[in-house]
Amino acid sequence: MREDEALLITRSQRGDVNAFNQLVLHYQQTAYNVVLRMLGNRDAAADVTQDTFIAAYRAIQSFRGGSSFRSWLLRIASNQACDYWRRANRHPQDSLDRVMDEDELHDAGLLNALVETGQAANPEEFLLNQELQELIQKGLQELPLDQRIAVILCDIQGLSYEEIAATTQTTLGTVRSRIARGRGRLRGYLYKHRELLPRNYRLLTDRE
Amino acid sequence: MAQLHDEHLTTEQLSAFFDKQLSAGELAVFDAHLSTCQQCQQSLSDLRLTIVLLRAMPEEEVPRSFVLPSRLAPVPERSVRQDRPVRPIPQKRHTWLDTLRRSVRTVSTIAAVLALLFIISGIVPSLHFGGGEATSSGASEPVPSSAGAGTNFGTVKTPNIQQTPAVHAQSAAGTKTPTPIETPGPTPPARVESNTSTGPPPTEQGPTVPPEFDPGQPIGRLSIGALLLVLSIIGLIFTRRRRAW
Repeated sequence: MREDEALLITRSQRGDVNAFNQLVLHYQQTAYNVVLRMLGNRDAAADVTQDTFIAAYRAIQSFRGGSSFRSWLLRIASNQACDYWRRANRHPQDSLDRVMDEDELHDAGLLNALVETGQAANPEEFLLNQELQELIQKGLQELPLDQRIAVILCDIQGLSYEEIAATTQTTLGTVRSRIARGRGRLRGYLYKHRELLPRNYRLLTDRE
Repeated sequence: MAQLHDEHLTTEQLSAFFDKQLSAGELAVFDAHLSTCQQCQQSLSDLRLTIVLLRAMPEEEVPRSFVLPSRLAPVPERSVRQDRPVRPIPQKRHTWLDTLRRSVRTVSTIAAVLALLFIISGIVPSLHFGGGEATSSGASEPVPSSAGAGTNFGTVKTPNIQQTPAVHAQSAAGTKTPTPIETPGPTPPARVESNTSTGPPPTEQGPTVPPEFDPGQPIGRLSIGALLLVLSIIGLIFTRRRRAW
């Protein structure tokens, strides 16, 4: 697989679109979902994903192989998504500041109100209904872009801190901090909208 | 709150705990505190729920394939975007335009500064001496007239000395001491000094320049300054409109 990918990259760098398209087929699901979680809009995500692959093809000469191709591609995707987001949202900072203030008010013990304690659920079997998905998606969109991309890559895409650092071109310490702040804000957001969460919610509690 | 001097765990510590990113030392502090602090236990539990919810977000299928047309060459961008020609093209052009706008803005700003220097150096002598005199207050030796100075320059300097506008501005604004009468013989040293633009002899170019644009004369400096100012204003307005658009 690695060998194949390296070969496909080399052929793409020589201008072989068909080789590049094999990379597209392999990564389009990941790229699309990252962008979708960044933007929360399927049409926009499709546009940005297409732009991402066009931009990647044009820039493929600059891929050196120092980081993984996935990191490199997701960096382009997240940059494109951030550009799109900034264009579409002239004043996103206001709402973000509001959320942050409320985060300060609500601290620990808050989500307790919305959960039934006791049963330990297996996260893999966890199915979110449509309403809850939308709530979380909206919560993600309330995060600043750097925290949003870090949380998406970590918790939704399951990337390691190292790969997130390579993707966002930051240090491990920055990654750790952004993930923590993003999760913390999201926790505040979920608490704020706890009435939308189902009553019979199962979750893991107090398990070390 | 309740724990005396035992600091609560930070969100970053709690968050890093889930990803096994705490160092051994941090983990020891973490465990020791958590076992006694209900507040942090609850906080950890809330954060865990948040993470569980995030991880449960489903992966969506792509709405279509994003493969590129096989005829795609590195250059033609439009051919790829037949279905949606509007969005990506302004986007590409935006970054390109940004670079252009920035450079035009920078050049315009520099031109504006130069223009002001020219204008000031053109106005100041005429205020002090009623016009026509090219000397400034800093001149050590008074000089008859700018016209005379101009002819002197013509005899002393060779016409092919190339100078940048910055040198003109500097000589025009600052050390405008046209005393070249005493240097008819040592032409080479004078030229060297004029190139470094630090010496007392003024630096002028050859007599091929029409008087309206001769930086040796106040009227010339005013003209050059006005011209530069107009250009810079045009440049600044142009780039500003671009940004708004």
